[in-house]
Parts: sequence; C-alpha cells; structure tokens
Amino acid sequence: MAAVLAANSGNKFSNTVITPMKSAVVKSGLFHVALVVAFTVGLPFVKTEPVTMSAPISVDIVDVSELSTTDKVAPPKKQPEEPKPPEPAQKPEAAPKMTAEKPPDLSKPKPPEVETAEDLPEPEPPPPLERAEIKKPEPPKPKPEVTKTAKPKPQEDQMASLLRNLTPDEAEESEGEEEPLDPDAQSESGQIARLADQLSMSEMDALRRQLGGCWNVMAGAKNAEELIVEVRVVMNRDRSVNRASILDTGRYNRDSHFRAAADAALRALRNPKCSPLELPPDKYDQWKTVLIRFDPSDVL
Amino acid sequence: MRHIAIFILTLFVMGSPTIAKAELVVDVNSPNMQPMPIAITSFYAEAGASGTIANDMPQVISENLERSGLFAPVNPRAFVQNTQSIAKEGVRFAEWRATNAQALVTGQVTRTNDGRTRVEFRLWDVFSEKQLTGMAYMTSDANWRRIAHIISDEIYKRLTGEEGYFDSRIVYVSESGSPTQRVKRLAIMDQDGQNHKFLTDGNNLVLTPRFSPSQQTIAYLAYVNDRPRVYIYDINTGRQQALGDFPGMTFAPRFSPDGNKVIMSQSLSGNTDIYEIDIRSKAKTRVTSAPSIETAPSYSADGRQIVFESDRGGSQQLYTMNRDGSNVQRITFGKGRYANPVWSPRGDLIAFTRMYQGKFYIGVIRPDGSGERLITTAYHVEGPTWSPNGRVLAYFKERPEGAGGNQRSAKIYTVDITGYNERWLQTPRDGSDPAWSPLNR
Repeated sequence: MAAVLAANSGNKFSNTVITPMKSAVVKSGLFHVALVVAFTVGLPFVKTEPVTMSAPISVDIVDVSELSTTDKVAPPKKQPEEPKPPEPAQKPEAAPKMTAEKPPDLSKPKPPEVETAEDLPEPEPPPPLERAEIKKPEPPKPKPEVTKTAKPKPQEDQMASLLRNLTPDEAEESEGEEEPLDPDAQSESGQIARLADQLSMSEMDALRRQLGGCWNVMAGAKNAEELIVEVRVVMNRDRSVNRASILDTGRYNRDSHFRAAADAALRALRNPKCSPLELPPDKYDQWKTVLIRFDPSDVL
Repeated sequence: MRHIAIFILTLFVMGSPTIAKAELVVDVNSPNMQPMPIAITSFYAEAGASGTIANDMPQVISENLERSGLFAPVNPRAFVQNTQSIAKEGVRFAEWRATNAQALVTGQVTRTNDGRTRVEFRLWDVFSEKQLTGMAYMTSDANWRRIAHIISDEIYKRLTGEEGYFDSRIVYVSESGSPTQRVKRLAIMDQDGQNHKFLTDGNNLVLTPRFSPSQQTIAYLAYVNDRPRVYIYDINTGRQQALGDFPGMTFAPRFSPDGNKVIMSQSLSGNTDIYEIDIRSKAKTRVTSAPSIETAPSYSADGRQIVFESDRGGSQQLYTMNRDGSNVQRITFGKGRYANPVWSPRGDLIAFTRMYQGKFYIGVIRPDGSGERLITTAYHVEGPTWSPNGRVLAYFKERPEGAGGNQRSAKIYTVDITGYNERWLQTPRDGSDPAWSPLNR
C-alpha cells in the first residue's frame, strides 16, 4: 500500500514535475531553432547598420598639360596706370555772339520709308545633289573706298575678364566695386561628386571642355542667369549625337532670348568639332542618354 | 491589401539602384566667347535688278554685324558656293560647314513689274540645315541702305534674342575751328556714320543734344543771345522751338520714355533743381527742392524713376528717386566725382562719367548701386548714350593735339557693354556729345 502510495505519490509527483519540464524543453528547443534561423537568415525587423564602404578612388594618369588647363576665368587684368594727364578742358563757357533770336535754318533729314515687308516661309528643299561640286571660290569683294569705322582695335585677352572693369586703384576695388568673375568652384566640385560613380573626373572634364569650345555665347545678354538651357541628348554608339531635344519647349516658343540661347546650345552639339564627343567608348551604357545643362550665368 | 502590396513592390523596384540608373548630367559652363562665325553671301540679282544693291547690301550687313563684336563674318575667299548656285540649287550645307560658318545669309534682289525693288533674305543654321528667319521687302532703290540695316536687325534679333540697333541714327555736335573760335553744329548720321547731314549752321553754340526715345525729336541746349535755353527740334518737320520761356538758365534736358515730357535742370538764384516740363502744355513741375545742386536727370526705362547727380552729400554722386521726387537713394560711393547718368533703355544698367585723379572714365552700374564697372578711360571721355537695345554705348573722347597740346581733337566711339570692342565712329569733322536715336521704325 505504501509502495502503491509511493508509486502513486511518485507518479503523482512525476506527473506534476514532468509536464512543465516537457514544456520547457519544447520551448527551449523552439527558441534555439529560432535563434539558429535568425542567425542564418537574419532578423528582418532588426535594424542593422549598413556596411560602410568607402567609394573607390579612381586614379587617372594624366598629362601635365591637362592639369595645367583650367576653365576658370582669371580675374580681370589690372590696367596699367597711365601718366596723369593735364587737367582736362571744361566745356566752353563763353558763347559766341548771336545775331538773331530766331533759331537757325535746319535741313530736314527723314528716314527713308520701307513700303512693305513680308515673312518668307522656308523654301522647298532642292532636289538632292548627285555629286557635291565645289565651285571655284568667288574673288574677294572690293573694299569700299571710305571706311566709316576704325579698324577693329586689337582685343585684349578676353579670357582675362569677360566684362571689362578698369579699376582706378586697389583701394577702390575694396570700396564697392564688383568682385572679379570667378566661376563657382563649389558647384563644380558638387557636380563632380555627383558624377564620380559614372565617369571619371578627367573624362567629365574632357567632355565639358570639348562642348564649351563648340558653344558660342554672346556676352552682354540681360538676365543671363536665366538662360540655362537643358538638352536631352540621345547618343549613338559611335559617340555622335543621335537626337538632341530642348526640355523647355514652351519657353522656346515664347521667349526670343531663350530661343536664341537654346539654338546656340543645339549648334554646340551639332558642331563638327564636337563630333564625336570625347566619351569613353566602353561606358556606352552610362552615356547613351545624357542631360546637358548649358549654363552661361558664370560668364555673362 | 493586394493594391498595397503592389504599391510597395513598385516602390522597391523604382528605388532599387540596380534596376534604374540615374541619368548622366553634364553641366557645361565655360562657353566659347569668340564672335560667332557667319557667312554673308552676295545677293542674287535677277534680270533687271540692281547688281550694285545685290553686292553692296550684304557688305553693309556684314560691316554692321562685325562692328557689333558678336559676329565674325567669314572671309568671302572661303565661300564654297556662289550666289547663282545657291539661288538655283539651294544651299549645300555640308560644304558650308567646312568654312566654320555657323550661320549663313543668302538673298535675292528682283525688279517688280511696277518698277520697285523686292529684296529677300534668308538666315540659315548651317548645322541644323534649317531656315531661322526670312523676310522680303518692297522698296525703291534709293532705300537700299536702310533695308540693309533692317535686315541686319532681323539677323541680330534671331541670333541674340534681343532687338537690333542698326536701323537707328546718331545726332551729335560737330566741332571745327580753334579752341577759342570753336564752331559747334548739330549733325545727324546713320549709326554706321553714313548719310551724314548738318542740322544747324553753326551761328549758335549748341550742346547736349538728346534724342526722344519714342519720336524723331531732339532736345538740345542752344546759346541764343548769350542765353542758354533748351530747344526742341522735330526731325520730320524741321520745326524747332524753345521748350518754354523760363527764368534763369535751363539745361541738361532729357525726354521721358513716352516722349511727352522733358526733364531738365533750372538754375535760379544760385540754386539748381530738377523740373519736369510737359512739351505740349509747357506746364512745369518741380521735382527736387534741395539747397544743393541737382542736375543731369534721366528717366528709367519704365518712366517711374529718375537718376540724377547731386552734391548734397558733400561730393558729386549719383542718386535715384521716384518720379515725384520721393524715395531718394544714393547709388554711388566711389572716390572722385560721378556725372551724366543715363538709364539704359532695357532698364538693367545706368551709364555714367566718373572723374578721379584727373582721369575720366565711362562706367556702368546697376540701378540699386551694385556692380559698378568702369569700361573705358581717356584724358577726357564723356557723354555716354545708349543704343536703342541697351547693348552698346557711344561717347566722345577728347585729347590734346598739336605743339604744346594747345589743340583739341574730339572723336566719337562706341563700345559693347562688356567693355570690349571699342570702335571709332568716323565723322567728317571732330565730334562730341553723341545721342542715339530710337529705332527708325
């Protein structure tokens, strides 16, 4: 009876102890499995710090001439001081004696009239020429006997300053005159950083320099900072331009200043000196479409 | 739920750097500032048309564009196609590209049945092989030079986006004689120096002619019986009259942008102030009333403001104010003296004369007083005047000549507002005080 009791009690005991133990083992097992899974697969909801890898630094072997070439505009040359001239003459004070109160006789020049003017549509294209025939060049036209304007004065170094500024003296410069032009180095570095993973610095620089050379801009435009032209260019694999289109066609049609600037940008892309463009042939995937921003605001 | 899943998936796909690559962006900001190469061919003269016009007109166009400093006409020796070939076969663009020309001008002159001349021109983009603009004009042979200026303006406008200035004139003071017996006459010429005519006979001393911005009218100062007064001269009718009979001395006149009013200085009882005069009614409105000297007023392009010179701050400087005299702002603070301010017709700049350490300068400054630039200097340089498009300045330079520097020579020059491309504008005699007209049309 005692044995039975013991057995019973033992059973009883074992019943009350063994059940939680089983549950703990199951829990422990599940927990370990979960841990193994978590370590193997990764915890999707636990934020992990991204692996930081420094960007690869591309090293290009460049020519010294490339390093010495810059598209920065030098500050304007200081004009050499001229010797001080004598005090200039003032406007005449004494008036010659007048003979009459009435105004003098005057001739009556009048601008000639233009009777009519009409717009000309583009003519029908002529039939294609079978053979391009180069004719003998015309003899030069005779010069008119009297030239009414002076011969062009030899231009000063335009790259020294695109807007001329003579400074009376150094002190004056700091007192309120405009700072010399200096293309924004900050934007340049930002732009290089943006493109570093696409084209190398020297590749970008060569492209920008080539396009700049083909792009004629006329200095002195009003509000030049607003004449930034964006062109989407689809390239051929041979690095020639397949298609170039102005993004802001609305402005092209309504704003004559923008239209002229946009045409100049398109001419740069069609200029024979810019075909082919200096692009790395092995990176066609990166430059098969390019957005080119022609921005004259630094120089006008 | 399904839509949300698709949306999230789309976001993942769009954001994935491995699937969508950023477009290559290239910023080009160092353009070539050289003048644009342009080929201007002789015009094709149809049977009966004037061959002289067909040859001379493109020559005038070429000289106009070259003088602007923005264009470099291609030497005709490099031309690859003659005018007849262009007229009959069309332009062979591929060959023109070899001349470096970016634009090409072709034209044709024909005689109509009623004896008039028809001139047409076309401006081509050599690279895109497209016509940029084309116009035809009917006129008499005598007007060929003016048509050449109008065509120059059309080309300039299409390629720069701004109005041209070639169909305009310059009135100036023609000077002759010794310094003590100087004869000064009003004269007028085309902006390229052609079609020169004298307007006055030299019996009266004339100074500071000013063209109306809207009409063919000139205001100027004439000494009649030793008394300086402002006169108005109508070029179309030849009529001239005193602006009004005001006490004291009136001088430094300039027109309002609409041409209906003149602003000028009046010196009375030792004080000089600025007055606005209605040309028709002669009604006079006083604009300034300070005890200092206020003079050389010039309206802004919109007519709302006036720039003037004043010594109210102790030295001669430039100020702007509202048209009614309120809100006076000093805009120059440099050393030396500033004078003769002229507001650009396009509104963005004010030109002036500056004197510092015995030298004269012509400069430009923004109306808010920023961005002062001095663009030319000489022993004596003065009197800037703007071309109708606000892109070119004309002024005169005077220098001593002869033994001991007793003589003076005065010449008129033009310069682009960049400060480069200064050109001498040749006149039959010495010239000073140029004033540019508005466009003739």
